[in-house]
Amino acid sequence: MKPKSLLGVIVLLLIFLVPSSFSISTFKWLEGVASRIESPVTADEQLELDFLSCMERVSESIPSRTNVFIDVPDGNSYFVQRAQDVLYPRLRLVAENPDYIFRVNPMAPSTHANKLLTSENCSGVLIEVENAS
Amino acid sequence: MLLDLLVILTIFSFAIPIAALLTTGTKALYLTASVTMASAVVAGVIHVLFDLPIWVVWMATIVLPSISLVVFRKTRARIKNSLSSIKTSLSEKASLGLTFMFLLLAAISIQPPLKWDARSIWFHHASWLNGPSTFFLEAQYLPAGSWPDYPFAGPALMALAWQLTFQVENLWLATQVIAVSVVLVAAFSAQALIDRFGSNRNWILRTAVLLAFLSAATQVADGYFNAGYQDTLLAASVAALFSAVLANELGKHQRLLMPTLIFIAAANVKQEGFWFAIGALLIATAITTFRKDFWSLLLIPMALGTRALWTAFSQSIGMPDNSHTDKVLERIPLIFSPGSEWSEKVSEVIQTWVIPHSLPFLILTCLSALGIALSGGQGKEKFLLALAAVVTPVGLLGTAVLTYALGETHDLQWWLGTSYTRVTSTFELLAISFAAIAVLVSLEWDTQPAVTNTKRKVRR
Repeated sequence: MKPKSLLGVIVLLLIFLVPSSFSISTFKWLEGVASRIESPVTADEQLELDFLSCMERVSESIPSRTNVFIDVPDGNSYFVQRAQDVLYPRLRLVAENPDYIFRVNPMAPSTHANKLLTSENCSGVLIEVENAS
Repeated sequence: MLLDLLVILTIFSFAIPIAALLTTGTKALYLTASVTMASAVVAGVIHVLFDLPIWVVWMATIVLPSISLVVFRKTRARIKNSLSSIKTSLSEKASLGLTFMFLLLAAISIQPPLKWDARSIWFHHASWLNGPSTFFLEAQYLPAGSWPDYPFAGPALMALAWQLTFQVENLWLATQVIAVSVVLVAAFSAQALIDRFGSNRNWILRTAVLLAFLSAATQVADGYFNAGYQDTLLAASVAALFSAVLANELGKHQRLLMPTLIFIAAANVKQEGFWFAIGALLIATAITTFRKDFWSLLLIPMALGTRALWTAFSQSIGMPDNSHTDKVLERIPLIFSPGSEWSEKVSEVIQTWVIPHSLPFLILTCLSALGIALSGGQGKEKFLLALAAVVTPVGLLGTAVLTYALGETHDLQWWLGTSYTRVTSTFELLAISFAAIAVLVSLEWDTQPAVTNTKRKVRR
């Protein structure tokens, strides 16, 4: 075999390898497909999907296009971002003068200075909606 | 999932007449993804500025022109002729079969729409584009989500799919649109190189190279090509741009229009898309200019023009500037001062991330360069290609390293840990592109056996 042909064969084999795991990419791809067919949604993923559906359900008590403030007392960025992507753009998100407050995982039940519209436990996370106007 | 695949392929198929005038065979079918993405970008911009639904602009830019091309006899004949090789060529049939298999497997193995960036950036931006333009405009100043200044090729495509299927924000469909786009764009990229550098090669070798390329594409960027992320789509689009410029042998209009459409798509997938795409474009046009294809030089002002248009658009709607990269250029000289903060950061990035994760691909680029240099073909051109095999991927990797080390970030290791393997996927797929070229030019397993002349002795 000519040296350049041998080099060509080596390079072809290297393309097939996934460098991070030194496994054949085609087999790794097929393994991934097989595991997804076997389990399209894992238990953890289903938990998260349920949490997000619940969050969306709670938000439905707020009329569309009203101003909402997302209050996450412990600053958990996951809750902040998930609340943003569930609520906006149906609801307008504001930093001040909201019509409603959407509170996720309050450390203590709210004193309800505002009128409490909805309160629901979503997969262990308490979500409350208050009318702030 | 399979029904969604059928729907997505139907949407892309409207671009076949246009694609078939820009390239031939299976490449035309694969190019429909990039053409539809480019039209989705334009549709997204027009939607934000004039509050026209994305599907309406798509109809005007893709569907109506395609129908016109099919109705007129002359263009219909050209389209038919362009696609005719699919029926006659065994290699094209194998390519189509393999790509379809990848599409099918991608469709049935879609990941739930839960990944962090996918949900908080790309799906979210798609929902901004799905309603009145006020949704997108408000998001620029409300505390409504992450990175409102990001380009939106992927989100616009998702919104288009939602609007055409009357589905309100089906995130599974959105995920699948991106997965299908990745497979088609990667297939185009590979097929363009195979047709250019391996036109005489045996169909088995050509199919093996396509299989290797598509398999690799599913594994870069943490395998998130079917999870809603845009990194693999960017990697495939930049590779497609490079292939389109390098491998384009049609008339001068096709040489300009096809890469321009792919550039619009690639530059608008992610924020670093423009920089990666322009880098690949510059090197590809250097090679084609050397081959005396001076028309391809026009691609550079066209690329800069599309960037200027995006800048004008983003400024007109008040997009905030969240980039980390303002100070990168002015800090570059500082990395040459030993002991400086910036040279230490560059060192840190190289030692903690480049060597463990990217070294195998760097070795691959060197072997590819060697393979190309040892192959037959015109001396100076193959030398230039061999040099490009190293410069292009390393240049892209270097751009990423400098952005990490010199950009504005307070927690460098956190930023690297959450994004390095995705951001460098473009460098990886470009390295694989050159490796594919090296394989095709090195392995002389031709379809037609060599003709040998035998001299018969004539008896007197």
